[in-house]
Amino acid sequence: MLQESAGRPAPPSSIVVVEHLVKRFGRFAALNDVNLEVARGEKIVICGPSGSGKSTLIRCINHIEKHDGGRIVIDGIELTDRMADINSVRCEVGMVFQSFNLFPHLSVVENCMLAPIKVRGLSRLDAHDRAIGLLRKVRIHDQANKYPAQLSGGQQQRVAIARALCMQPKIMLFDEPTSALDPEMVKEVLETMVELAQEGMTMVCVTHEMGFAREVADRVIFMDGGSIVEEGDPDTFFRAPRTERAKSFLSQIIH
Amino acid sequence: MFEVLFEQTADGQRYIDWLLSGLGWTLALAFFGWWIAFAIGVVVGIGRTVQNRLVAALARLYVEIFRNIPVLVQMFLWYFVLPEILPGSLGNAIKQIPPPWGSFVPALLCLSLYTAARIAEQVRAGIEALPKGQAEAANALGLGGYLTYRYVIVPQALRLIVPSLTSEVMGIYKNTSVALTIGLMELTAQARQISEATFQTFTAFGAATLIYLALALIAYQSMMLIDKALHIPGSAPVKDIAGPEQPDDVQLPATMEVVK
Repeated sequence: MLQESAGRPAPPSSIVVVEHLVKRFGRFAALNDVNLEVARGEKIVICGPSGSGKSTLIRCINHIEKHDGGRIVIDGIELTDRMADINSVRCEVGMVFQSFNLFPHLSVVENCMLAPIKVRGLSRLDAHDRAIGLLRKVRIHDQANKYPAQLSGGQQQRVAIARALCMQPKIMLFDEPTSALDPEMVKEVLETMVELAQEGMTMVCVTHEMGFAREVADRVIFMDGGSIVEEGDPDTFFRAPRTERAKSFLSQIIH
Repeated sequence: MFEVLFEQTADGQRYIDWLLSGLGWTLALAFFGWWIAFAIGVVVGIGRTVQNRLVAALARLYVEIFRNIPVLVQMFLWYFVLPEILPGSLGNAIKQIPPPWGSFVPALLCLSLYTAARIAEQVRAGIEALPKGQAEAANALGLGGYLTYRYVIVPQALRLIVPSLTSEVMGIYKNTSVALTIGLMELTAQARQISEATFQTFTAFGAATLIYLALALIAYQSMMLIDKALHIPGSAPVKDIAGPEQPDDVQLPATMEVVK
């Protein structure tokens, strides 16, 4: 508040600041004093056993889950109960879900155009151009007029990525984007994500794709029981995890 | 057997003209009633699903009141009771509205508000049947509450409930016959009048029955076409939408006097 009186504060170097985050579902603490900073352009992979709070963490970052304690600041805007702040944060934060969540009643290109038109105020023409451009980028522009149910899972997830990118977000969140896919479709989605990473997008990915983590992640975060247990660069983490819990987790997912 | 319908009546018309005039009132009541009911039903149905507790409670109250009072009683409430509880001059003014509007307007109010409560429940069920991820994805794109409902939730929910709305369309036009109890000369009332004038009970009500059946068929076929037109490519094929009939909670006492 005080900063604002002295004009708009310069954008902090961390685009995401999470401090002492607490999230409860009933009496169960899904997140327990989580601290995380994400620098601009940084790529972070979050892994951990199921129920460790990793999905909950990234769902709190765009307020799909409402946090119960602590602070979340996205690009200088703190997430509180103010709907205006929440919606402006959501415009800057793209999200890709495990189950794609495309809008089935809209064609592929309409899925990509809806939010830019209604939220960003783009004209139909501009939104269409942008949508086709991004669909081309994820190599699915030839399916632009099909409906989601007519596409394979991998294609749907690539559309979902394009749909999020159409809002020109500053950061992308991925919530287990390949977990619902047949094995032969995982690669096409990961390739798209790698390209996005190479272009400098800030990314926070919940995933167990270790190859992806090794290739693009600047930092791997291992969560368990609602807390960050270990973090480090991917090479060190996968080769020589420090904690017992990370060791046993890695031994289970690497066959 | 329907020759009698083409005979001259005392007022110089033919009996079939009475029937057609009744059909006109039935259709007008059902048509306007349906669109009012649909508009209110969608709004109230959405109200049932929003997070604002006050709005949700008001929507629930509306549904419980209008769905759980028999149509016949509601008809009487609007026609006989409402003018009594309004301030004297206003009540008298309402009582002096000339026929047929004096009974058409209360009948329209009654049927549309009753049907709206039923539609609201279908809309609520349709909204709740959608995966949570739809609203989440919309929110994640920055769409606020209104935009999410307007462009993501409601279009999908309405598609889902077209089959059950078919029953409501058929329901409202059949319930129009209750309006004869407050003196609206709709199809059933005209059939009854013909039966009394000619003593050809079978012919009079037989003709009315055939017209009602034909209307049901048209309503059903139209809803099938709408369902097909709204079908989302790639999703499950259009099924036969013969939904379970709504229980007919309108029962006229056998001795009911027809108000003329």
